[in-house]
Amino acid sequence: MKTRLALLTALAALSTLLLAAAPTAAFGPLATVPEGPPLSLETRVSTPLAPAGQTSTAYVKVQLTGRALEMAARPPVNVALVIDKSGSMQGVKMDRAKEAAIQAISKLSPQDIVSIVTYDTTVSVLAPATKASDKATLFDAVRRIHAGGDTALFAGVSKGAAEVRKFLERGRVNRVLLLSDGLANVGPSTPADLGALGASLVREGISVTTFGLGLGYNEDLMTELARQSDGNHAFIEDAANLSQFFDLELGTAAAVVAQDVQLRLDCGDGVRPVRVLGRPADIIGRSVTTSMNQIYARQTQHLLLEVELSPGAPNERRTLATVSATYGNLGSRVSESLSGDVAVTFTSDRMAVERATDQGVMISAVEHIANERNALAVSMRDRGDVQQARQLLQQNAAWLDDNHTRYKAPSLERLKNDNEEDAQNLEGENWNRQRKTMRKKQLKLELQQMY
Amino acid sequence: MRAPRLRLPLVLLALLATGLAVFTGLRLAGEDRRRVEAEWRRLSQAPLEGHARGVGALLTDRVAPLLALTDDLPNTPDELRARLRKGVWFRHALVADAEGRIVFPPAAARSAAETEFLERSRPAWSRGLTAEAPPDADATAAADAPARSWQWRTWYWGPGLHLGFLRALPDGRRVLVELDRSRLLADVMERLPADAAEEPASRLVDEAGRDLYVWGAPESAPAAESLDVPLPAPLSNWHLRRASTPPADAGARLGLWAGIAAALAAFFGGLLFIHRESARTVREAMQRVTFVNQVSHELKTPLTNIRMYAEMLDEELDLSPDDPARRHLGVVIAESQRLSRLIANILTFARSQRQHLTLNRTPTVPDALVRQVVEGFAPALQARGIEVSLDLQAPSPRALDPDAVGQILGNLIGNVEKYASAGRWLGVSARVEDDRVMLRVSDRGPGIPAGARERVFAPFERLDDRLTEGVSGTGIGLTIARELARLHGGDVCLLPTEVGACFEVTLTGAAA
Repeated sequence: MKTRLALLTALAALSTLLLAAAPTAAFGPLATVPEGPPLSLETRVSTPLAPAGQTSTAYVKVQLTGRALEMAARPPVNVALVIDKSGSMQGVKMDRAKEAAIQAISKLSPQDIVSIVTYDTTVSVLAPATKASDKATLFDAVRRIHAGGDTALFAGVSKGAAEVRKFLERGRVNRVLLLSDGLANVGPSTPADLGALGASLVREGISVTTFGLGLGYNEDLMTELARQSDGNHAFIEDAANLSQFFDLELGTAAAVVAQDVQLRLDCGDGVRPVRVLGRPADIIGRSVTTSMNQIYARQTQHLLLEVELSPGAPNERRTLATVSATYGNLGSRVSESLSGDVAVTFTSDRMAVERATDQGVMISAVEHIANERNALAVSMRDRGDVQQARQLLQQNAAWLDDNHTRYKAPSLERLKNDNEEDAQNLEGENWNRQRKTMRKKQLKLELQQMY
Repeated sequence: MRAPRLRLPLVLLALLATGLAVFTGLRLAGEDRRRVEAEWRRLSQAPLEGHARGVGALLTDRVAPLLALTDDLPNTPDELRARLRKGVWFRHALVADAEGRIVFPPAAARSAAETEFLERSRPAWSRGLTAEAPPDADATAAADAPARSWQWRTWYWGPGLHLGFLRALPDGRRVLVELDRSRLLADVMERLPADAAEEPASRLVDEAGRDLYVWGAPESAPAAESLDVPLPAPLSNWHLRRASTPPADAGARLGLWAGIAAALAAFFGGLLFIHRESARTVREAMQRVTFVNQVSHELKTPLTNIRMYAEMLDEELDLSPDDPARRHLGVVIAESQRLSRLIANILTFARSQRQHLTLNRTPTVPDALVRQVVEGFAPALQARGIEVSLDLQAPSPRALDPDAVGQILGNLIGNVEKYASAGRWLGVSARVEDDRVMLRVSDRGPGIPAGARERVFAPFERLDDRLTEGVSGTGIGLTIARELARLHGGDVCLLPTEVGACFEVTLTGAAA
């Protein structure tokens, strides 16, 4: 991330706009006077100089960066720990999960809200949503968990979300933390079912972070639930590491600076939005919208849009898009907005086009394209085309290597290495683990997750 | 000794009664079980119905926001999209104009998600969004508010049931708002209990019988699910199910067995009662006999003296037949003879009961014996106007016990005097066949009913009151007659006759 930031500063973008906006609508009691906007908006284009007289493609990158947060200012969290206690959790996994949950709870402050939900075939609300002040009771509830039964994952998440909903409030970080080691087999259990549930929850401001434990869980389902709800996802092969991930998640959650981020791009004349790379977004006509449930301190979230430019005359300046973002300021609990725009100038000088290329945007584009190919390789492998999948991954690695040579970006080199490793583990007992790793990395890159 | 003979029919009757009781008990128990089961079902179904109502309320609660959403429909697609984006449990909607053309999402610019929505909701709108009530429309609500401008619409696509809210706007436009399927499921689950131990194992199943949600105590063994409550419309294809093992089962069975046990107890109780009753009757009769027996012994000697001196007096006085004194004396003699027979009978019966009856066979001429006995009865028979007809063909002596044979004849003739005087005729015959002596005593009285032919020989048996009214007797005359005849290797039988009765006495007595 640091390297990327360094690159960004090195390549001064054409049109950078940062507008700290005025508060528009209150969405909660005014608590503290904001010290400054928690988010900064930056818009860049891959080719600030576009080739004149021809149809061309450009990438628009809109970045939102969270301001660093003082420790004292951390927002309260409202979290439901949803723990799989199906038969497969029996033994060490259950013990570690309990330890991790107890440790996580012990780190909560009294103004935080926590609930504990377990599920197997049925769902139990062990501790309804409550302030994390009486920790002994919560610890007792966790210690009473005994593994056994099937996996009603959908119901577990639903009930966990219902507990979060009891104290649902903008200004809190509302989150369901799902831990599962198995395949959902009671109730709705397809990735689409769970994804749709996540998409609905995030519209209320509830994200679902999913922890896949061991090698038996359904990574498609767990990543889709996290993706649609803008939560995090982790593949935790060894239960001994659970505690560390609980810490990571709660630490991250406590670092949210902005919530309910709505980002909108309206493309200008002669600009056709083709696709959004990475995160889910809606393209309707010439407008593009996406939303993020939260942005963390020091996190940069971006939207990468591929556009098609109709031929332009030399020296013509064309606005590619106007950008607007609205979000909830967690510190001040006020709804704020940011806006900016991005433009290109057409030129007949091909060399100038090449020289002016924004490498940071291009690197992002390469990352996302490589990521999509990586996901495509998984689908091929799922169909049984091992050979074809391997070939695609190797091509992807070679392509990344080319781009690394060109842009000198360490992130591309890492991606190249990942793809080579993926290509070598498409068969045998390695494949299950590798698939989980691939899904995890794909999601992390797609949503620019913190871990 | 009537009770032992009555025991069989009584047992049969008791068995029949028991059978009836058991049958009725079974019927009643079955009826009771069905009733208890129905009641139990109603009671155990109540919580499920409560849950179903809770889910129904969820949808009722959805109506107001949906009406608000569709009431003032934004004019531009962007504004409508902004509003839909704020929806938590709905995300997509379509608007059709009065002609049924889809105007939103606009064909010119649709997001991929909108296109997907139109595709999956096609079953809901492809046949038009006109006001005709879908089959699953909430009929009750529709009847209450016939002018209602909205209805639920369900359709099936992909994973299963989808639910939409269809609104007819005053300007003729129609709006279909899709309720997010996953969210609907999650909200339905939220209305159902979570904690395991509170309720028995229950489940929410979808239209294909797949589990959507499971709650309640874990099942120890999969039981047949007999409780089935559909959710209210429009989700009536989803069902709440629960296994039900009626506790009434055990209860009813217990009741049934208790009923049978009670019936059996009643049966055996009845038998015991009958047994004790009959034993008591016999005991009482025996006590009576014993008492009479002892008294009779005491009476026998003075009576013998009375009789002897009365007969002596009759001979010594030599009165003319018309003399009233002679007539009076005749009565004294006849009555003392009757008393003697009575006492002899009682003593003989008592001996027979103690198995002490023995014969003292001496050469006896049957004809003479018959004449002697009939002679003794002459005054009594005359007094009742009974004509006597003798047919005597056994003039040679036979080895018989004259006292016993006399007692047999006396009892038979005494019966004619007592019961058959209405026939005004007595026939006595005697004949011999090889070493057997046959005596017959016939009358033209009321006779003996066919059903009572054997019964008359039982001790203490007397025919109905009509026959015995005003007649004294111990009820052991025929019993003793038969007993004595059988001691002679013969019997006393009642021969079938057209009128009256005819007793035949068979005696084995070799020529002496």
